[in-house]
Amino acid sequence: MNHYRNKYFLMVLLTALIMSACKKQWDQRDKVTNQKFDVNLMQQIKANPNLSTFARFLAKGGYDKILSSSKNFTVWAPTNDSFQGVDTNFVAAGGGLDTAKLHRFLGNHIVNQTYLTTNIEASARIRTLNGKFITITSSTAEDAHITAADDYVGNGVLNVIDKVLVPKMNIDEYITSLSGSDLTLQKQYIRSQDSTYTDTASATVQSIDPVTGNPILVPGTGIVKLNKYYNKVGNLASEDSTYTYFILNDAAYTAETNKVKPFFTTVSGSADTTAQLAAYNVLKDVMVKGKISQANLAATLTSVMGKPVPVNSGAVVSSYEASNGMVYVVNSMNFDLHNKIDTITIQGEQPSFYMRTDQAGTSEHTLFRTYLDNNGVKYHDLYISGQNISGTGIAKYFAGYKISNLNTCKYQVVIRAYNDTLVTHIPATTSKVPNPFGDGVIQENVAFGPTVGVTVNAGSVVPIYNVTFDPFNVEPFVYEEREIVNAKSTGTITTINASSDGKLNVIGLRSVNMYVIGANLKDTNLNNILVDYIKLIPIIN
Amino acid sequence: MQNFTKSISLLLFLCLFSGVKLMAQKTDSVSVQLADSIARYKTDSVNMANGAKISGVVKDAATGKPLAGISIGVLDYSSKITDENGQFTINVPNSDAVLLVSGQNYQQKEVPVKGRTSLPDILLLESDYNSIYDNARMPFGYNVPVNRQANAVSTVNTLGTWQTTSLETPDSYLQGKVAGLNVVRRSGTPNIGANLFLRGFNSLYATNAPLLVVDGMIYDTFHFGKSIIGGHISNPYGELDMHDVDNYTILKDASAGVYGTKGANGVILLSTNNHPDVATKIDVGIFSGYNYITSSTLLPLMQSNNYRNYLSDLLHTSSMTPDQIAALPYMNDDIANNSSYYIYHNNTDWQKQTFKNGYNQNYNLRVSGGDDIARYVLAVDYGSNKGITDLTDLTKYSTRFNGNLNVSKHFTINTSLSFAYNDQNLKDQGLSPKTNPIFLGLVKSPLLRAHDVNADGIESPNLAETDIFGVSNPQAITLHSQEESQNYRFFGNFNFKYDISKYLSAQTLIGVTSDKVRENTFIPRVGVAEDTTANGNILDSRLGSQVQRLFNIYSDTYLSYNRSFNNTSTLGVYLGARYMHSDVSDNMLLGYNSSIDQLVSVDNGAAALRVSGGDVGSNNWLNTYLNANYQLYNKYIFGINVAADASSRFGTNVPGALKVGGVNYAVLPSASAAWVISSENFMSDVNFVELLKLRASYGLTGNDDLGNYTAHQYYVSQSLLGLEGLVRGNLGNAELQWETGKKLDIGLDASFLNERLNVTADIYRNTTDHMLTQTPINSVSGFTYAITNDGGMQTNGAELSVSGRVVNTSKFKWDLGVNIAAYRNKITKLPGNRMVNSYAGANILTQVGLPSGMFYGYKTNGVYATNAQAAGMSVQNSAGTPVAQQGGDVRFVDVNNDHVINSSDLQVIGNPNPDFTGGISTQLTYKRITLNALFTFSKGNDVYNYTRRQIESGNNTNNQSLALLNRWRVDGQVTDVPRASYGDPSGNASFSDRWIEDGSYIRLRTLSLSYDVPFSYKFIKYIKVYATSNNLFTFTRYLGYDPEFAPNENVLLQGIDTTLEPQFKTVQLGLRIGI
Repeated sequence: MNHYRNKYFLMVLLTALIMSACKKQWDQRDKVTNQKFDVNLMQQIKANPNLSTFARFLAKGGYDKILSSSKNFTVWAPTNDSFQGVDTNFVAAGGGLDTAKLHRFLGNHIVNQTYLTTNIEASARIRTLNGKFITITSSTAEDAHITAADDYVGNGVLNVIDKVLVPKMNIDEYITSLSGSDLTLQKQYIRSQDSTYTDTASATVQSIDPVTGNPILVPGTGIVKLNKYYNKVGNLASEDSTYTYFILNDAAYTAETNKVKPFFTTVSGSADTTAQLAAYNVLKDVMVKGKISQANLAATLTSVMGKPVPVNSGAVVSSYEASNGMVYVVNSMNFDLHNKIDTITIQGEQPSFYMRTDQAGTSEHTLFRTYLDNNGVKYHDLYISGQNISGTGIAKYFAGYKISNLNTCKYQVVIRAYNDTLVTHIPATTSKVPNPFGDGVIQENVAFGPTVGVTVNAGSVVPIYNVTFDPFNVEPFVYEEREIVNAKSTGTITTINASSDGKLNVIGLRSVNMYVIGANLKDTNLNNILVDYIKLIPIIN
Repeated sequence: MQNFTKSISLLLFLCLFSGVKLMAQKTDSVSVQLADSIARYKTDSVNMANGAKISGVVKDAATGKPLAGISIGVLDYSSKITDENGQFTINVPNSDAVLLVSGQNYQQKEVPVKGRTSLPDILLLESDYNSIYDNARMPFGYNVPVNRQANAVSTVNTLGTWQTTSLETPDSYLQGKVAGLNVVRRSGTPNIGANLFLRGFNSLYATNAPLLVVDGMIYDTFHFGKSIIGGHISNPYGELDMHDVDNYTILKDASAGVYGTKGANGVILLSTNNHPDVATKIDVGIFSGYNYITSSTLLPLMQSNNYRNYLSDLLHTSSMTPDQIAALPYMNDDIANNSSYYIYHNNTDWQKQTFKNGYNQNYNLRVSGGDDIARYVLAVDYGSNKGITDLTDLTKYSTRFNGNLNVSKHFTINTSLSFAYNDQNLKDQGLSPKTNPIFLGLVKSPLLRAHDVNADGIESPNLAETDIFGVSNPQAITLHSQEESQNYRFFGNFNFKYDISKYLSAQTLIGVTSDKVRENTFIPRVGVAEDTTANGNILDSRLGSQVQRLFNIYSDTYLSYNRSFNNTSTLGVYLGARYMHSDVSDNMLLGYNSSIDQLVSVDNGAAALRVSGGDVGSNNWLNTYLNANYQLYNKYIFGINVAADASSRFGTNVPGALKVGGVNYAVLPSASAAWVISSENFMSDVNFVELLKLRASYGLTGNDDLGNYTAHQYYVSQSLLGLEGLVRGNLGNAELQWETGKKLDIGLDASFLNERLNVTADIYRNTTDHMLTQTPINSVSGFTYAITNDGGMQTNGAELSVSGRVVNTSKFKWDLGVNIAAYRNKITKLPGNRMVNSYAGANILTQVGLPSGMFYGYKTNGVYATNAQAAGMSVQNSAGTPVAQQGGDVRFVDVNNDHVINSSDLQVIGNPNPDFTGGISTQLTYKRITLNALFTFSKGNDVYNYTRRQIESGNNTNNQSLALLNRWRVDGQVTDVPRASYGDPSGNASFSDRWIEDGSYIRLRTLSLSYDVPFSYKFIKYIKVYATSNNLFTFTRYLGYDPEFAPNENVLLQGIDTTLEPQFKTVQLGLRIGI
């Protein structure tokens, strides 16, 4: 129809109209008022002749593209002069460019996002593009001074600095790099803890086992490295947290490990295991949270494991400022053995087992209580009422505790049991069933035995008592700890015995069973068991 | 009852129709009164021969050549025809007589004798000239030329509207054409129409739309129910075909009181296809149009590089660490280690994708003809119109039959029947942030792409899902959502007129309106952000269906008495009653979560999530009236009008109301007077004055838009823990009454130099008493407010329209017209004196002494350049906690100087009411070519740019406008754009004057060129070619798509730009063939 003709006419008309129709009102608004916002970081760096060396390296490393992209960065660009005396040899072993090294170097000057010096309160630690952190303040970046700050362009901020920010090793890398002949033992221990595991989530699945339904992984995939020591104590290979770390030279290392070795004599007598355990025992307390400069080193620090770290600043042989903290090499670190061999505290309300394995009258008479003591401090304890246990009451009813990792040493045994007679209804001597121990007093007993060989007979645990202490009276309203004395060997096993001075004596690292035993009576409330906690305090000479 | 009424009306129609034929055959019989009239003629002739005579010459105004064959007459007295020299001599009854001059292709003109015996040259302009002698079609069907009006009445003759584009609706057509009628088009969507405000506002809660009367019958334009399509309004004006409209007559002052309690906002009388010729005429129109926007209309948005910088800045202020930000898929540029690299590394111009240019096609056929007994016009129209987004295309069909039947000499029947059907595809618009494709096109991140893409960058035909920012895929809406509105309206009436005597006649009009709007919606699941219900259900796909029905019965019956006395005075009296019964119903069903996107009908929604609703309403309205007008000596004109209305909406105990039989009546009297100074004898020598008329009117009107059942107490169903019950739905107010509008108008009509310059000026004061308000009440009642008549409002204003012919030669003619109007509105009474509403993040203040709809927010004074400047200042957040400001935050004006920015620092920051509005029209005619142009303008109206606030807030991941390139970034930077700040803790994007803009504009509204092709062929009478365009230029400082929009009819919510389809440019070519 006339559609076709219309189109031509319309086109002529349109061209005339489009030329004249214009929307001017935005002209003032969408133009960038600050011309710098139209420039990107790379252009800004290139525009400064004093940054030409840095610009050349950026181009060489491919960072020019990144700094021209539409993400925001903050760059600390070192001046040309600052490259003097800096190792800028990025040649790989085979010839060619060592890209990894170059990237490590360049990346150390660039961080994601914009940081204005005016917004930094004191100092900030920021991750650079190479994964490491640098510390910035309003006037410095690491040890470099900012000579021109906060040059804001379209995709970030440019600061000019007077020193090159050479990437630092982290503590783990530094340990690996240690080469001194007297610094071999600690390094050797740490490296011996390197290990790997397979992370099924990141591994490639080859197929699914039709029988089990488990994935079959492609070998070599999903392997994750870890260091068992770092895993337990603190990850020195991570850039995320800062540590102050002490490296004991071989002499100090040997001296300290020897001090603790006796306590780690094993059941089988393996010297290797003992050495490993002793090394861990010493080294777990040479790592301190935070980066502490040498000037600020206190005489005693607290390790990440919560133990005192004796620091003798005179013993510091050398130090290194790593990217994630400080490293001090020391020639002595005189640990107090009392801090190394731990007191074992067994909470009464956490028994492992009871005399009865069935529910025969025990559960409803066992209370895990929470009360306030005489000082108003909250405590939790175990209260087993002797009333009608198993219908008729059981004499010498007990609660059993499995205790592991006893060191090879003598232990003093201390108990706190709070006898609140009125609540626990312990009878007086004048009651219908007279109390043989005195008004409101109960009698308890503590015994130790091996964990192996314990049997169960008709719902009742048959305990093995190797070491039995004297029964003791628990008087009403006595809050203090009391020592249990006069241990006697009552069994055949010699590795858990009573010492001549009546203490618990353990030979070889092991686990034991501890029993808290009620009185040998069946009468209601006379055979109560009360225990807040029991401490095994190693006796160190 | 209602069915009974319907069937009676139907029966009545049928009877009368069949009677027509029988009676028509009798009319040929001889009239008995013939002999009488001959006798009277003789006596008259004798009187005339002795009476005064007057002579003159009639000439063509353009060429100055004498015109022969022009008829000259004095009504009911004498008539002559000019001779070949254009001369005539005629008898006049007295010195105050008026000569009526008319001739083929020439205007009709009145020449007052003013005691003269010879007249200066009478110059006639062509018949299309916009003359002071043009007839206005008054409420009772009679025509009154403008020069004889005692009221503020404007008239617009459309001359067939062949030149308008097919996108014009009868409401938008009036834009810029009538002084004081502010027409604001709602959006660019075809058929969406316009908000009409005649002389400002009169009410806060009742309607402010003028009453529309089509061919003597009220055309219901009330929007019952709400569309289920976001931002859509179903426009009843769209069910009228623009080509059928002959004439608009707009009653602006108290003369609207003839429609009683429906006249408070003025009346638009619209007439269609009147007075067909006897000769058979066929008109065929073919129109083809092209809709487009220029690239400069698009808002300048960030591309992906700038946007990603912005995102980096923004996220840096969030709780994310730099490492987390660097690990985000759109920040990771390492193709090898980023499997979603291609999803997030694009530069998509979503805005451009949203808009598509469209074509329109329209065909129009009209046949008219008949004989002395019956004449008819039959019109058929078909149109297929696209918008600019390719989302809102409209197909329309309409037919109209208008007939005039002279059954006998004394009995005539006029009929007007129309049926229109519109079928429109729509999309959500306005405040639908998840489903409005235009809004999504603005805020969607340019990093993404419309389609899925795999790790190797290969694109799939599947559309991408909702993105990482939670923003829907605009293409999913554009391509896969289905929202359709089908509506039709039958509007028809018969008007029976019987002349009882020469002076007295009775007539009755009976008509029905039947309207139905059916809407079906489907929003797909794929690519559209989910909604959540109040109790935590996730809504993915959304389905809906709604049917709204309207059925009105209308009748208007009156006696009219028209008589002239001794050729010195005329009297017209009309006494009658109008009755309207209106029934509306609305049924709605919303569904959610159809199992797949191919199941699109509402019954596929999950059963547990269905929401159904609806509404019914009916009302009765009775309007009795007495209207009289009297003209003395053709220069003193008086009119009075009294209406007494009863309505089912009124309370049963209206204080002070007239009560008849227990029914409350609204008695609304009005009066008007005019003095035609130029017809006085002392003006006989002042020939350059064609007309000078002073007029004044005062009277009462009413507004019955109170809600059908507000006065009554009703109950609504409510579910409580699964049990269904009834609760009180309102507090019935037995004293509820109509709003009373007092209208005072003083006007001047003047015409000079033989109508080469015409001036009309008006000043007015409209006062609303008993204005409907929501009065806060004690909460123990269980309601927060009651509807009462406790408000008041006043609007003062002035209007001026000047038009004239600048150049008038035979070949070249240039007409120019300007109209300008200003109103000043203020609230005079309000319970509590003030209230603050919020909408689209804006606070709107209504306060006694201030205009309605004021924007109420913070004033700003730039942006703090440094932290030091902002020290000590804080902004109170929504939880009441002060948040310290810093460098880059907005410097809000601290009114009370307490260094805390909070609600006590809010001020009036904008007024959506324009200082003045108007239009400039011009017409150039050269030989057979005519060029028409219409400029419209609005000055001084403030606009709240909600849309810009969404793309310049700088506090979320929405794409931002390029203005955000200048956001504050570094200490000391001087800018007026605040910093990017995630979640905006310091309130930089709060409602403030940052988002208020000047919405003034002037626009080349229409430009049209027509050419009358010289052609002679037996069967074809003429061929005319038209080229028309809409909205070619708009000059504005407004930063949104377009300064003209009206998402809401509510007076309080004017000037809020909620992201609607913008006005676009249309160019249309048309061909009209007359057979």
